[in-house]
Order: sequence, then structure tokens, then C-alpha cells
Amino acid sequence: MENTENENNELMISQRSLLKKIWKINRLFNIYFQSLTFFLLYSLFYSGYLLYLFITGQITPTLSQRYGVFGVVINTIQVVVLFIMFIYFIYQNFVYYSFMRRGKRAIRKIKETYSNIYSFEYRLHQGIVSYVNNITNFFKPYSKEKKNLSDTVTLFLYMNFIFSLYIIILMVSLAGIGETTLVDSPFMIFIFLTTVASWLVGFITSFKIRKNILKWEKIIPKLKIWAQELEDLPSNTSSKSEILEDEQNK
Amino acid sequence: MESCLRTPRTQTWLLREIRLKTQAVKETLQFLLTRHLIEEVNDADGIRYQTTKKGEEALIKYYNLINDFFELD
Repeated sequence: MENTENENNELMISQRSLLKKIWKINRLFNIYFQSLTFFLLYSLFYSGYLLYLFITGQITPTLSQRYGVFGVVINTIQVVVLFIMFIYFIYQNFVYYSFMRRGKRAIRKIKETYSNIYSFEYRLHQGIVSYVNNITNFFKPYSKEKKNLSDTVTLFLYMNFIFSLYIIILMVSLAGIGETTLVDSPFMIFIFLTTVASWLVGFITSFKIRKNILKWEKIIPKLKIWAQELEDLPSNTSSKSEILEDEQNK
Repeated sequence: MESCLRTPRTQTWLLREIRLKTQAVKETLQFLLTRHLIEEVNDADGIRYQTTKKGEEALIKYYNLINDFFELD
């Protein structure tokens, strides 16, 4: 009886310690991906509005005014590049949305098994393994001998930074155009500033994520060893499970 | 193993919660049963599965492993 209680306590202690870290990690990922999403939405809105003003002829880009056809070509290239970058960010959001959704599901499961905050009763939780598996499965394809995980993540974060910075520069250069400038519109200033703020938050959290990925990469081979140890446990195959017997009898 | 930690679970419950294919869940249960990481518990409602002490020890090892590396700077 005492041994069972001790083991239960050890389980609860290790779970609780892990839970604190999971909340922090989850918050970090949430902040980063929310900043990415907000950046995309605000910059899409801003650019869409600009495009609308161009199409309706309410504003004319300065470059085409000054340099004629050459200016038009440059503006067209800028718009195409902007469009490609938006596709890049939309694709990223789409890919990481499923990662975040699985993480949220695991967190919800953990919260369901949480003890009442007013009671001191300890409980065993469920969902921790799902959350950890979600992260390791996401990063596992990149953690191979040929592809170093930390390099892949660094490249991904660097591309996010450069592309988003370019979007902001484009938004600034296209804003001061012709006779009417978008600087006069408080609403557009607000949209622009929130875009920059989202970019800044994403930029800061990306440093933290990158710093910790190096440590997390070491988990993956250790987990393989743990799984191998389970496989190497002596198995009692002579007593067939009723699962398979029931199937055969049906 | 974690799903069957607090309370014995039926196969149907596990299928619903883990969201794997039926065959995958059955193979996993078979794997865990033969290695005595979970055990069958018969009650009025049918067969349920509960994590054994051996399974709990394996989970503790897993949690400690993750704990060592999930450090945030």
C-alpha cells in the first residue's frame, strides 16, 4: 500500500514539474504564432486597401509618376513579390495551425483532469504525453543526420523575419504616394502600427524559440531509446489478449 | 498508458480519445498487455484497461526524461 502511494506521489510530482514547463512552452508558441497570424491579417488588410485605392484611381504611385513605364514595372514587381510573400505566410499559418490545434487539444485534456483549484487534492493528469508527442513529431522530420534541426529552425525564423520586414518596407514605400498619403488616415496608421507591433513580438519570441530548440532536439534520440527499452521488455505472447480472440470469434 | 492511469478505460473510450485507427489502437493495447504495462480489468460493463505498476514506472521514466530537456531559458 505504501509502495503504491509512493509511486503515485512520484508520478504526480514528475507530472506537476512537467506541467509547469508545458504551460510556459505553450505560451511561447502561442505568442509566436498569434503574432504571425496578426501580422498576416493586418498586412493583408493594409495591402488590400492600398490595392483598392490603386484600382479605383484614388491614388497613383510616385514611381510611375516620376519614371513612367519603368516606375510601373517596379511597382508591379513590388506587388508580385508582396503577393508571393503573403502566400508564404498563409502557407506557414496553415501548416502550423494543425500543430497548434493538436497542442490545444492536449492542453484541454490536461485541464479537464485538473483538480479543483480550491482543493489540495492531487490528481494524475492526462494529455501530457499527447502534448509532448505533438512537439517531437513536428520537429522529428527535421532532426536527421543530413538536416540539422537547429539550422532548419534558424532558417525558418530568419525567412520569417526578412519577409515580414520586406512587407513592412513595402507598406511604408507604397503609403507615401501621389497627392494623397495614407499617413493622413488615423485608421491606417493604427493598422500599420499594429502590423509592426506583431512583427516585433514575433521577432523577439523567435529568439527564445531558437535558443530552446537546441535543447529540445536532444530529447528525440532519448525518446527512441526509451521506446526501444519498452520493446525489449519480455513479452508474454503465449497468453493472447481477448481483443484478438473476440475478433476471431465474431 | 497515460490514458489508463487514473481510471480503467474501455477500448471504445480509448479509440475516441486517442484518435488513432482501430487496428492501431488494438495493436498498441496488445503490445502493452504482452509486456504487462497495462492489464485487463473485468467489471460489469465489460473489459477495461488499467496501467500496471510496471507501466507507471515506464511513465515516470518518460516524464523525467522530458523534464530534463524541457527547460526554458
